[in-house]
Amino acid sequence: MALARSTRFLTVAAMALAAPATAARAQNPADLLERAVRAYQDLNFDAAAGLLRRALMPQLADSLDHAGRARALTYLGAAERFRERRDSAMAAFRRLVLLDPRYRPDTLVFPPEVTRLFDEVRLRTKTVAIRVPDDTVIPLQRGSFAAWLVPSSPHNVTVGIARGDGSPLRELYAGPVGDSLDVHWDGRDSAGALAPRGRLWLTVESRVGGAAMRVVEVPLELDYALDTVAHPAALKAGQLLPERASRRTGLRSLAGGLLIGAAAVSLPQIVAPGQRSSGTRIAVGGTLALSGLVGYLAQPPGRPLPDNVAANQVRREDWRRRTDAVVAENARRKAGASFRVRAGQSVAP
Amino acid sequence: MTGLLRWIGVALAVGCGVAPVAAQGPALWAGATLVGVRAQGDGSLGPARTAGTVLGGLVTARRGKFELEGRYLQGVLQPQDDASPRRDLVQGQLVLGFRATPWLSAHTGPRARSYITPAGTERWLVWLLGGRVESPIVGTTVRGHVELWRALALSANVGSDVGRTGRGGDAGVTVQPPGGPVWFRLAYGIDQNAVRGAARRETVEEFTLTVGVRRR
Repeated sequence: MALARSTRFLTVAAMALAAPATAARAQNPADLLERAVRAYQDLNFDAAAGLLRRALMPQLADSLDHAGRARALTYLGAAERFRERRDSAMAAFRRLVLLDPRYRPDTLVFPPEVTRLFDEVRLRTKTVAIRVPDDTVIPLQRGSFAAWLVPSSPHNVTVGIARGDGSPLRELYAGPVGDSLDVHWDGRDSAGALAPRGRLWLTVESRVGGAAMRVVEVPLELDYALDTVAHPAALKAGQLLPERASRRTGLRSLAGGLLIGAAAVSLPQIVAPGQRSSGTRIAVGGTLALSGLVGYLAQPPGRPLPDNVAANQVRREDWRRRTDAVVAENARRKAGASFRVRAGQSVAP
Repeated sequence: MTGLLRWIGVALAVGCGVAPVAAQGPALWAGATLVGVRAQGDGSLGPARTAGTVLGGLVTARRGKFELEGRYLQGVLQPQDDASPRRDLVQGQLVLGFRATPWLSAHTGPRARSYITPAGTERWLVWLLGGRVESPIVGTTVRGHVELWRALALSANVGSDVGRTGRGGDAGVTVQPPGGPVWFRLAYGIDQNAVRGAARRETVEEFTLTVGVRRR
């Protein structure tokens, strides 16, 4: 009696432990895909379609790799085709084309009626696959970032670089794309300046009849090690002399001459009070005072001040020379610099 | 002396605050000077008055806000009375200047002066600190300057170290015709150095005419 109870308990416990494993296997998308393929091969298209739809449900499909999803969609389209559900088959094939525009069903596995329907869908669906290097370093001069575009079928595209906020930075190509297309970007915006560091987007817009049909984007992370020299600050008004005399110009000259002249005359009293000093200081003080008077008379308001104009010209030329030197130095540094582009997975917003 | 230093410090701080100096490229001035020197010495042996015209030269190098100036004078000072001896004068100076603004600068450095007489050589060494105000008078062609300094340290081989003081000043006008490298300067300077312990006081006036060239 006790033995029978123990046996029953162990059986129930074993079933309880085994049940989740069985259920998990049943929910495994890879397992579902294998069962669906077997059902398809057994011509049980209804069961195959059911299993494939379960495998392609969003929460499960994420665990399928790219090839697995493409395989599942191909079998789903084929199964729906044989279930005489043409629209469902075309929808599956459209998802397949968008997933991978370069994908083609194996003609040894799928009969012509399936591949013909796929080709029909592919020709109607305009999208592009973008292949870019994951991480690349490119010389800033004479180098370029290359992207390889493969369309689902020939159509017109517009290829560009956009800023992180989506605003356009540079158009790289606009025109037809046949079998494939290489586009190159030199790391600059449409004005020829270096693109800003940080997040950018490589955008490919598929167009049909002038209207945008689909946009595929690849996030790019742009960086470059470029240590440039800052340009000299622009000359401020305070750094240049007035080029025309004002009323204050003459007064300042007069005051300057008189004050410095008075200082010259007073120096013995300041430095050596009580000491008998020579009269030469009067000559210097008088010269200074006279210079001030000449400055006052020679600079009436509005009169051009050629000395100041010449002095300003020297300052401007000096500033220009320093600026040219900085520009030349920066050009030299840029010649040896490179930029780095790291690309992410393409997305279709 | 503390008052003068405080004045210079305040003036430089104010000057730096209100009128930053534009970055300037290097420039070099060199000139030959003709100096009329009048020296009055007061001491225990009575006054000594000498005067003469001596020759010298100066070189100033400026880069950014800093400038370095060297001056040299050498000549003979003749006695101006029967009691004074003839003296040979040799004077050298090297000062480092800092231009806080285009019109205000400070400078410091040593000035050495030797009087050579039949009785021996008397040496005065002053480490000076001063301020200089410079102002354009007629455009940039004619500029005036005035400068005052005090002795931070003074040494002289006059027999005592007690009560050493020194101060001086200089004012003048510089003419630089536009477009040319040549410049002229007329200046008057006076300094007085004293060692109270030795009852010595030397007052020297200089009337300087300089002709020089400037190279940028």
